[in-house]
This record gives sequence, structure tokens and C-alpha cells, in this order.
Amino acid sequence: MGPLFPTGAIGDELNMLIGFIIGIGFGFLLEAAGFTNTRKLAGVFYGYDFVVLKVFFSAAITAAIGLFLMNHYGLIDLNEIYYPKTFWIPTLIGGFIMAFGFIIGGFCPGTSICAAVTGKIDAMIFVLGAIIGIVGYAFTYEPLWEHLRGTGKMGKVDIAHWMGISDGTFILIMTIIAAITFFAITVIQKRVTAKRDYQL
Amino acid sequence: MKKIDVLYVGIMLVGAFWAFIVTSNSEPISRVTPCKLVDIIAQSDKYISTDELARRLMSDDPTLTLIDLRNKQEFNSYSLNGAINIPLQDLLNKQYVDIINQDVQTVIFYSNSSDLAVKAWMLTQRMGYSNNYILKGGLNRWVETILRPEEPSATATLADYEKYSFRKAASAYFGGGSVTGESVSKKPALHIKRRKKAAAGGGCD
Repeated sequence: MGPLFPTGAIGDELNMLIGFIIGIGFGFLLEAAGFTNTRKLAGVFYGYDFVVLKVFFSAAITAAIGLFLMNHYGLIDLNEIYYPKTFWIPTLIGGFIMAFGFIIGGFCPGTSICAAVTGKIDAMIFVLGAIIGIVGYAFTYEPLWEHLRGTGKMGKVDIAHWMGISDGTFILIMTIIAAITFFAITVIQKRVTAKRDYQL
Repeated sequence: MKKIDVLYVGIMLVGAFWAFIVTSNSEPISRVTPCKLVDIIAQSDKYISTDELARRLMSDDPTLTLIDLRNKQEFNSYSLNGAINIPLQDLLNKQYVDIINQDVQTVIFYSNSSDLAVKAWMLTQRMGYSNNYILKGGLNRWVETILRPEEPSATATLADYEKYSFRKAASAYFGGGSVTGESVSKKPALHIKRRKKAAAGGGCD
């Protein structure tokens, strides 16, 4: 049956429209959950607020379980779903850069745009920085980044196959890790907030 | 942790266990279960006779797809008109799915005898594909019955004689009879159209 767009069940226009509606919903919920507040994101790194970690971890697991079960019962064909090839070295470097951006700026790409729209000046500057980064990367791609981009090539892999275990087992392991993490971060959060009086 | 957090984690764990359990009996639901497969094998009309095939080929039946399961070399040296060569080991390759998994054409598997065709047929039944048949006796029987039919004995029934005369006609049509089967001109196999899929776009947050 699905995915709707790659199998041709819906056209370009409807695809864009659905994306637009989901995008608005996503932005609205980011704002409603307070993610446009920089302290919310930075809190993960300082240990006084783990909501962001909880949300993205549980979202990833919900999506994994949902996609897996839908694939199993024939509602969606996972082979048709796009995921990019893995290049682990540039991914690792990019991950570090992004993490520093998170700590310093207090936004992720999604929340920065939401926050900019709500009128936060720091978010507008953050978005401007992101644009400068994108343009800068594009113009210096050939001399500086082209080689790095292709290093650590692993092809189209997912972790479960790479580790040689079934998808279901991997999901179960990740969920148990998530449950333990949720418990651990609750303890950490309590200790950190007890020591200092952080205000959101 | 708050009560609601515990509830969410609980729901996630239930889902994860569900996913884990369904992989441990990892047969996707779309495939045919062994029990059903036994029924299919016992019941269905899986063979097509060489006479029936000859009749359909002579009437230029457009719904016929012939699949030669032998290797490329054997296929090139002799095969039936318009047949597609798919060696048995490649049968379940993705590129051939559209040929063997559809409900319009009558797909007929054959090799020199019935052996490979029976295997191929079993595989397709296991995958839940329909409209696949086995040429009974394979090419050997094709040569025996159609290309070089034997005259029935003097005491044979009228029906046998009718069959013989049909086979003789067929033999002439397919260039067999006293002639060997080599002169058969090869009609190019039909071009197979596949569903064109739109490339899925990439995305990130």
C-alpha cells in the first residue's frame, strides 16, 4: 500500500500539500512544547532539562515500531522508503559541529526557524548563520569538502543488519535502552536542579 | 518519573515486544503458510500438457508467457518461440517479479523435463503468486509428442487417431515431424514493461 508518494499513490502536488500540513503541525507542536526556548535544548547538555532528549528518543522509537509493524502487516513497503547512504567519518564530524551549534546557539534547525518566526532575534541570527553555512559549503565544496564527503563509505546500511541481528531485536534493545535512559535522566535532572536554581 | 512517563514507556515497551515477537517467527504475512501450501499442491491444476500448449501457441494466444528455466547456453541452442530465459536460480530476482507475479498472463515454466519447472512452480506458490503452470514433461515430451509424434497402433481408439492427426499438424506448424526441431525461427521475446517508480526524495529535520 504505502509509502504513498514513492509508489505513485499520490502525486507531487498532494505530496507537497501533505508535507506542508505536517510541517505546520510540527512547527506548532515545537512551539507549544516550548522547544523554541533556547534553554530547553541547552538543558540537555547542562543536565537540568531532558524533554528534548525524551521527545526525540521516543519519537524515533515510535516511528521505528510503527514502520516495522506496518511493514510486517503489509501496510507499507520499507524497501520504498528513502534513507541516505552512510558515510561515517563526515557524519561523525557533522554530528560534533551540530552538537556544538546546539549548545552555543540553543536551537536545532527546526526549532530555530520556529523561534525566528515567533520573533526571537537570536533565532533569526541563528537562521542567518545556517544560511551562511549552507552557501559557504556550497561554494567551497569542490576544493575543501568533496574528498571528506566520500570518506568512510558504508553504502546503504542499517544498524540491525550491520550488527547481524533482526530488526525486531534491535528495536527491542533500543526501547530497553530508552527506558533505562529515561529513568537515568530523571535522576540526573533531579540532582542538577536541586543544586542550582535554574529558571526556564 | 511521572505516572504519564511510565505509561508512555510502558506503551513503547509493549510495541517493541510486539515487533520482537513478530520477527521471531519471521515469515511475512503475505507469504503462504506451509499448511496452505500443502492444500495448493494437492488441489490445483498445476500442469499444462504439451498438446494444450501447442494448441494455444498455434492460435497465437497473446496471454501466454513461456519461461525457459535452463541456462543461457541451452536456451540459445533450442527453445520455444517467444520464451523468456530465466534460469531457476534467478527466478526470484526482483527484476522478474513483474513477470511471474501477475494475474493477466498464463505463465508456463519448462526445462528439459519437468524437474526445474516443478521447483519454480513451488517457489512461486510459496510467494503466493498465481497463474503459473508447469509444462508437463518439459521439452523432452514436447519433442516426443509434438515435433515427432508416434503413429498409434492399428488397434488404437479414434480419439487416439484424432490426437495423432492434431499432433502431426502441430508438428508441421512448429517445423518438426520428420524434420528436426532446429529450423524454428526465434521470435524475439516480448519487451517487458515495468512500473516506473518515482525516486523518493531525501529529507532531514
